[in-house]
Amino acid sequence: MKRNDQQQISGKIVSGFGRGRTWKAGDLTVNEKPLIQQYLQLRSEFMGYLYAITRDAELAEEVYQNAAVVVIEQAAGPEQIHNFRAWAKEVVRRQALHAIRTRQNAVKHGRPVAPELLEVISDVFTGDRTEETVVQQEVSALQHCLDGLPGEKRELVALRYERDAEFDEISRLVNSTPAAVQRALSRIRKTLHTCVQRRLQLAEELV
Amino acid sequence: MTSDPKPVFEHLVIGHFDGTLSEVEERELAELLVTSEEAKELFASHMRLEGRLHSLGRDGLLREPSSVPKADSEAVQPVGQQSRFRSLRMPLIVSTAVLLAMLFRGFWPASVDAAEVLQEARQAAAEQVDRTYRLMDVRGDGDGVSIVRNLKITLRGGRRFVLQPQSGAYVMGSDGQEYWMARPDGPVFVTRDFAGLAHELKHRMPNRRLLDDVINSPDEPLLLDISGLLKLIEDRYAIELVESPQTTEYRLQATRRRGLRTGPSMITFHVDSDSGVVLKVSMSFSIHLLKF
Repeated sequence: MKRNDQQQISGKIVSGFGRGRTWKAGDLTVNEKPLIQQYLQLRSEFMGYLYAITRDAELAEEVYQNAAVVVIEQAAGPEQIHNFRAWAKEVVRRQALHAIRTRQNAVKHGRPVAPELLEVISDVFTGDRTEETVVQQEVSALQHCLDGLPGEKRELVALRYERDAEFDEISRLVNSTPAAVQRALSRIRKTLHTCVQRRLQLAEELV
Repeated sequence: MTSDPKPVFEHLVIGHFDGTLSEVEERELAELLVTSEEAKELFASHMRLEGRLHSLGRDGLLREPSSVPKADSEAVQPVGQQSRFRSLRMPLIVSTAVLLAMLFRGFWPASVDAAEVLQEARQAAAEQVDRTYRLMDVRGDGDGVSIVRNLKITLRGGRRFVLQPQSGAYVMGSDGQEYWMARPDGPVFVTRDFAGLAHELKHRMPNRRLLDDVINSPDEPLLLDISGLLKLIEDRYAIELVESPQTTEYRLQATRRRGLRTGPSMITFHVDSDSGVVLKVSMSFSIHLLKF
């Protein structure tokens, strides 16, 4: 089934939503959500990878959109997808590598990622078998951990990630130096990562 | 080697995301990612964290709720509006339409244009009154439309609310301090920590994402913040009064301005012409929302 109307995405006209199929992730049978909805739910995971290999939030977003078009086109087709997450990862990976090849000069944050590292990161991304339930738990845990950050640290995080701001830009806003901002954000990320992992561990122990 | 390699590796991972690694360090990172399973896992989890931070930042959800700017701070005002509005949008992003049937009091001038209608609606929405919302998430496809979510939400101020789906699968609520949830055949969960409740119920509760919305709401469940929505429309939408088949209502249509990529492409308000009651809000979402 698919929608009759057409919608415009990034200048392309594509058919609208198709229905998802029943698919399996490990032992979990997942419902028949539209593919695009499943894709949206995996956004953070995909954006993490895209940012890791582009270090450019705009380019990462563009690749994510292009992959969305592929997902929608797939939804309109007859083929069944048995493991949507794995399939979508591959779509994202291919779109990303294509975009990087064609937009080498668009990288915002310094020089592009070395090709060998780019390949290894892509392998980590496609090979990551972390269960979706864990991924969802990480989302809730991160919210808790962010809530636990002191105000000024949370402000730094917001400045960095809301606008993909460079360290020197942030340093001007907070009256500091780029190096100090970078160190502070580095510590905050470590803190958040540790906090998330601890919360997951705690939840596991309680089960 | 006797030292713990994790700090070194973590330094490389974070340095990578910051774009501060030298070529030598990049090779070192690549080597570790090839040879160490532990390194792979750690990198993957940092990658997910990074993705989430970018997503939360993009959605304006990284700031503390209390730091949502007030109207007297024009320079940062859009951030607050974006944050509140997006939280309303997020669970419904792939919906083709969301209908909110609402009841609240208001006043209306005898003769109005679109701007006046909007202004009056904002004033009416600012009143602190009890409200009952019916929220329907409607999706369309080639075979017609179907309601995929149908909820009744009763608000009583002070963050008190009761939320129940039409199906009766569960009921949840709060007295402003404690939150509770129960299913017809199950126990009652009560907590002061809503996030904790959400975590506990994540495998048990249908419409799980609703809980996230409630958790992330600084003001009201589901962020049915009509004042914020109307302010957003004023700032970011072209508005016009359109002809309504009902003689007893005004119909205000808001179309997202060109160049803006966030928010529904179109929002329509149905307003009772006598009482000023906003009867219904229809928001059309499309895949455009994927690109912000």
